[in-house]
Amino acid sequence: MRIGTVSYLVCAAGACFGQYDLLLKNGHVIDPANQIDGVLDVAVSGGKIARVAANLPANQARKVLDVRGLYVTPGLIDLHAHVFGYSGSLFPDDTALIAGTTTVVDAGGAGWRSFDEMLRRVILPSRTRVLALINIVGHGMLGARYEDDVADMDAEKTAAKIREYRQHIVGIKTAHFGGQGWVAIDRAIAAGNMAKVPVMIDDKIFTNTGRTSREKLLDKMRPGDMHTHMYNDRQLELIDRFTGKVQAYAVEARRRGVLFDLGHGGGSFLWPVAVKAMAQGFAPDTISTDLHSSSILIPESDMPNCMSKLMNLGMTLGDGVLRSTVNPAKAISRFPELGTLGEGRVADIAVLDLRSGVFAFKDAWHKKLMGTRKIECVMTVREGRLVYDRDGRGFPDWREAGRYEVIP
Amino acid sequence: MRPAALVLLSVLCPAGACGQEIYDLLLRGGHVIDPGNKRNERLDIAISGERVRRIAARIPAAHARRVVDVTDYYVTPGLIDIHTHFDAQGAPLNLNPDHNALRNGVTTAVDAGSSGWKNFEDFKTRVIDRSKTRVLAFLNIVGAGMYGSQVEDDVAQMDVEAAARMVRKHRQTIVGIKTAHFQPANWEAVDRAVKAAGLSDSVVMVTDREIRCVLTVRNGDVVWDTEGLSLTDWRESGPYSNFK
Repeated sequence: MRIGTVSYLVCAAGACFGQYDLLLKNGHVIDPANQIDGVLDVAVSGGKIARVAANLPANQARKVLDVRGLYVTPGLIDLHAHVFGYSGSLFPDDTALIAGTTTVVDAGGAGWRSFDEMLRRVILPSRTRVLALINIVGHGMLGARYEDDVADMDAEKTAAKIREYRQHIVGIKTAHFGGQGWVAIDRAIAAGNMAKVPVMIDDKIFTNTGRTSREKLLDKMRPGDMHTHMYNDRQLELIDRFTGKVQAYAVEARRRGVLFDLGHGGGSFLWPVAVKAMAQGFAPDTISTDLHSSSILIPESDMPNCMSKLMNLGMTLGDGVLRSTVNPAKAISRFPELGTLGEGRVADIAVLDLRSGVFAFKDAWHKKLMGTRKIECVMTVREGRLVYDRDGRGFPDWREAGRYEVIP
Repeated sequence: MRPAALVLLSVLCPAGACGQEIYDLLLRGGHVIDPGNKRNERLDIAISGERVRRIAARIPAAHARRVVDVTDYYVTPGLIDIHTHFDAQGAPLNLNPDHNALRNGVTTAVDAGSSGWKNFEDFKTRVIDRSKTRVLAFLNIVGAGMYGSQVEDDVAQMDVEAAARMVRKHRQTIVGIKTAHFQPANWEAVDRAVKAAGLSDSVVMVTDREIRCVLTVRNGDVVWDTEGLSLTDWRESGPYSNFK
């Protein structure tokens, strides 16, 4: 056993005083909800955060991970993911846990007609916590033929499904509506009023829809509703084309409580928009990936990369963590159950490495910005269990691990 | 063009035969390891369309539309992972090929018996035909594929004729037969797999330094480029005026 890098404690029956299942030692803990930003130990017991304090004794834990030099944060919450319904959707355990993301919110893959199938096929079998914004379209995100069908946008049935599954459904999504006028947004908000949940809007402005960003943000959206794809100028005209300034009505909407979500995806993170907006202090309220089959390869829009991209435009790590944990948890009314390392809260934890060097960060249109700081996920703990461990810090060298019990 | 170069060109090119090909993509300066051609040295690779057109010590940058400097890296044929499980039954059990394979340099993945003759075609339309990764398959001797021990231990589910027919129908994609997880103490599953392989003329499968993939080219397209080697800086890429 090497002291100072990994200590791995095996407790023979009765010989261990361990009141903790897991102890992360000497990491730099960032827990914005509790104003913690410093080197502390985090102890986990029974799937919950047991203690966050300095110098917790190693002999009190069954497993000790030395995470000196790394950052320990609440498990990341991806407010805009695609894990069901949408043709590019990805199975969450396949992409989230390796990125420090312990909660994903599916953004409109299922509607009220298909939610039960999503529950059975994706939500229940996943180790990742999967929540859902259900689509105002009953069939969900199955392409224009369904998504433009106004007859399938039933606010009553949508609200009824949300009431039936409050533990899984946290809001409503309206997206991709190609028709004229406000009917999709109006019905989504009507359903939101009935079920008392927020609405996430992904809306086009590039085609002639009869909708304007100003009217949408100021007259339609309620405090707590979320506009996603904020750095794509085809979804939301965030930057005035003539002045280069963030639109005054966007600033006003934010002041009134409308939330702006990143939703990186395959088309919605563009350097010219992000650079201008960040330079004017218009950062995303919530950092999210819109991760799907075409955003995961070249743009690599996972949570640590989204945070890294913003950090290279001036965001601090602490602020990036806030907008990837506390803010999304609040947006879906799951704070403080989620998004903090408060004692007694569920032990969903990300261990992150902040690397220095020269790195390429690629936007949705495959252009790069060379940056100098990069966040990488090193370990993920989900409900107290170490589910991802890139460098094997939590495991013994095989030669020192004692006998390999052979399956009979 | 300078006159001297022009003269040289006219000497080297017999009338009409010259037209230097302009390549789509040139990977320059990498250490090429290509065991199939006994190559293990610094070489340039020129690609046009979906094909490797030329491998040589120095191919001029001017002969390609897009040049990627890979001096710090090794360049190998796309990796072939002969035993994978990619989404035969839909989400929960299996992974999706593109983001798992391509970002690890795997351009060809062979699914090892996730599907059998009953659900292979569904697997093909849902996954194989939609993937950028080349996905090939071993067909499970069990008709429904890897569907748990209840099905996989049931010899009545192992229809040799139907499996062989499915292999013959999809020769481009199905590369063999798989048998796996069979628990009863006899050879029935293996025997039937071998028999199906015989009928369809295919094979049977019975079951401190970091290597990191930085760039993957599939069918001539850069599909993974974590260092951004092939991409332009956003400030130098002109106006953002069109969708891809």
